[in-house]
Amino acid sequence: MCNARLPQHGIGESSNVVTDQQLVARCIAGDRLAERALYDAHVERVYRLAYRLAGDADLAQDFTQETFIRAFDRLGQYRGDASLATWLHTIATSVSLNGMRSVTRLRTRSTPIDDVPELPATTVRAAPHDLRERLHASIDALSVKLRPVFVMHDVEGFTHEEIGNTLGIPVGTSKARLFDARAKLRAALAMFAGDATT
Amino acid sequence: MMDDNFDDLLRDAAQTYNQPPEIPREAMWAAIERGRAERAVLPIATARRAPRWLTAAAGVAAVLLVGFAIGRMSRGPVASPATVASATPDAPRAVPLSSSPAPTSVTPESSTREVEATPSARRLASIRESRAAGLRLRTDRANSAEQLGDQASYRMAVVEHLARTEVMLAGFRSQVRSNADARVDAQFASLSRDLLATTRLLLATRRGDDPAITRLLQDLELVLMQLSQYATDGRRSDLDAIEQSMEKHNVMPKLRSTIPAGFSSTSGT
Repeated sequence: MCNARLPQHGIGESSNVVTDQQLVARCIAGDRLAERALYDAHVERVYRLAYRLAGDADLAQDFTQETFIRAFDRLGQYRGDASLATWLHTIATSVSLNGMRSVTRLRTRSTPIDDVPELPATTVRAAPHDLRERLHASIDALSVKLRPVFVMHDVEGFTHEEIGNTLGIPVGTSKARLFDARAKLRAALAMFAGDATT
Repeated sequence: MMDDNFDDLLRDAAQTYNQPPEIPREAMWAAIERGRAERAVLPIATARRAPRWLTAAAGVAAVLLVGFAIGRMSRGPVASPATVASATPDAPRAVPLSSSPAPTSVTPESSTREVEATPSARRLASIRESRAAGLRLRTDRANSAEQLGDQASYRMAVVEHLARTEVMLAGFRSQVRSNADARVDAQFASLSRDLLATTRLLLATRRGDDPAITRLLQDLELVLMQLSQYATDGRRSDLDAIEQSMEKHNVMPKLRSTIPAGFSSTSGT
């Protein structure tokens, strides 16, 4: 749970730290300060997640904005079953993945054949810094099911419970997908395995 | 062990995957406020969306409409004017269609009437036409049952007819009870005449040795005749006579006991 800080409004409040429920109630009541407090409390993680999934600053900005616009519109639907952060991450993931699907479709249709980068015909022993590039390309190549789990867990540090709540999948499924994702990456980077162990 | 080391390496290298730049907080907040303001002033027609149940209901209605239309089209060609002429209330007995083209059977008098027809007259003609089509259909069904000599087909036609009659009589009684002083809808007049014609056809072409069915059809013939009379004239004495006939002959209980459970007036073909 991520508690936000905002100026006191009521008598008897000993602290200016408010819970998710209080913050949401104030936002629904039209409190602009509460809205800004909610935004400040969660924007960083939402933006980071959006950027990790999109890999593009403009797209990440669009996805983050859309996430908060939707969240403010639907605050009345927030029931408090999960934390506000998880609820926001669910929206952010949905917005980002759907947005990426549209962007990928668009790019696939509009990219001229000459712009497609040439792949090396033979595998050469890569220099250490190539591990990152290959790894990033391999993460990009993961399936729509595996990539969000890998990014959220291994890159952004979400727990399997958080991933499960955010993506609407059981914890076991999240673990299985992470296992699969790592296995695929390991296979894709097999040529670096010897370097890693030495 | 090797896997563990490699996983650690993977995790470290993964930290640089799509590493976010500094967050443009204020720019995004401004955009969010703008976006919310724009959405708040959307035209009502755009912002107000039909409820999900209404959309679903509209879909179901559309499917039913299409199905109904297909059903109507698959029933065969529309009756020609020759059939219409023979199926008016003045000449309730169905006459077989002549093989000659329809226009040749139209008399000069009737063609003059068609030319001078007002919209209401055209509507009346259209109603008569559709009624005649239904009558012809039922005649065809009765005839085909006769040709086949199939008791099951005849029985099916009877049951379907009884189900339709039961629905009509129940509706009629309900309307009379709820609004005794007013005249019943015109639809009952036309419907009762249609059903009366079908009842007579079924009696004339009966293919069964079931005396109960024959008696029930005879009782129905009487009730439907009285009903069509009442629907036309609207006399209170006719209404009492209908009630008495129905009570005396136990028409509704007999109808309900003859119609198999689960059979509806629309389930038959």
